[in-house]
Amino acid sequence: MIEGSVLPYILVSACICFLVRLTPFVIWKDEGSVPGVVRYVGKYLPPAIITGIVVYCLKGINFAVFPYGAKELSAVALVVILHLWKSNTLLSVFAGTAFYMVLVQGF
Amino acid sequence: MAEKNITAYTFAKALKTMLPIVPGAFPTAVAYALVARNAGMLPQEVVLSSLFVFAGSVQFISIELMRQGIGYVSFALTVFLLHARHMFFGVSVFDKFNKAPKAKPFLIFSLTDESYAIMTSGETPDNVNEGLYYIFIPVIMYVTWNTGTLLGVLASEFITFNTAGMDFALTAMFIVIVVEQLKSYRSKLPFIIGGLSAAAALVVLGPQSMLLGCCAMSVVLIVALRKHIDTDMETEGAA
Repeated sequence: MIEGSVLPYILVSACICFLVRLTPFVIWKDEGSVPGVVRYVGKYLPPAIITGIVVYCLKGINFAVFPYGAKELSAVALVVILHLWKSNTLLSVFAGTAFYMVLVQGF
Repeated sequence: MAEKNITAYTFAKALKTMLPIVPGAFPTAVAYALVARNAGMLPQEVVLSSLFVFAGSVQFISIELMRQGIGYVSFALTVFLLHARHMFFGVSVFDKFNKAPKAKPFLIFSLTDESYAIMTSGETPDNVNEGLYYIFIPVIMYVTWNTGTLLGVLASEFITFNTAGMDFALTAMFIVIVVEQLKSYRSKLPFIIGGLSAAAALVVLGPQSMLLGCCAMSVVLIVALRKHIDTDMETEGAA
């Protein structure tokens, strides 16, 4: 559980997010002056980072103890299959989360 | 009269453009508020977060980081990393933002994956006030996100069921984004690079610094493997 005020965290993240969004407008005056390699990285870094974030979210899985991560992995599989099938964000997130909650609370 | 009609028409067109986004963004905001409250954040903190951070992935991850009591420096670095892709968004929307120079601070503040994707993928509808159009889009997003947050905060007062495991919603959301991006990027190498870098960083650097390590390794590998990644055209994916 979170203890105490988290206002400093909110302030920090608000400032950083705004500065990050602002950066290209300050550094480069227009689209033409952005170096090619920056543009290239900007195009392909997001999928890498977001995949990394999924790994980050799952970092707590304990493969050494029963049920060896089966709860998390099956919930992940459900989300993937559901989304490939129906392409409905709401359904995929809701069903996957509900499924995981049942697993965590029921067993 | 003509002025009012164009404005109304422009707003209607913006609304129509955002229609596919709202049903996803609104529940995500509700989910954020529920998860945040469940973790112990105060209602006003949740609301302030959506008002001033206005970044779904950062807001979600922050809950987890705050719960772990992360230090401010590590927190700042992780937020920066997670949000870094927005640094490249501006590059593609220079022209569009210049159509509404007075609103530029708000346009810059409110850049998100969704509005970036919307603004860079479709064509601007005919007969709209372009400047207003590019203002209405993020306004609609901002209102949606904050209304959802508010609703979630209110709903959290009445939730009585056991919410254990509910923060899996965050993982599920990112998985969905990955699946969506897998469809629109022809080269799957960036995904592999990201996943493996993150796993390696977790082992080598530990959970606190793993995102930093993942990003550094990913940039290096993406640049190094340019010939294999950048070869053919893919459909433009939402970054």
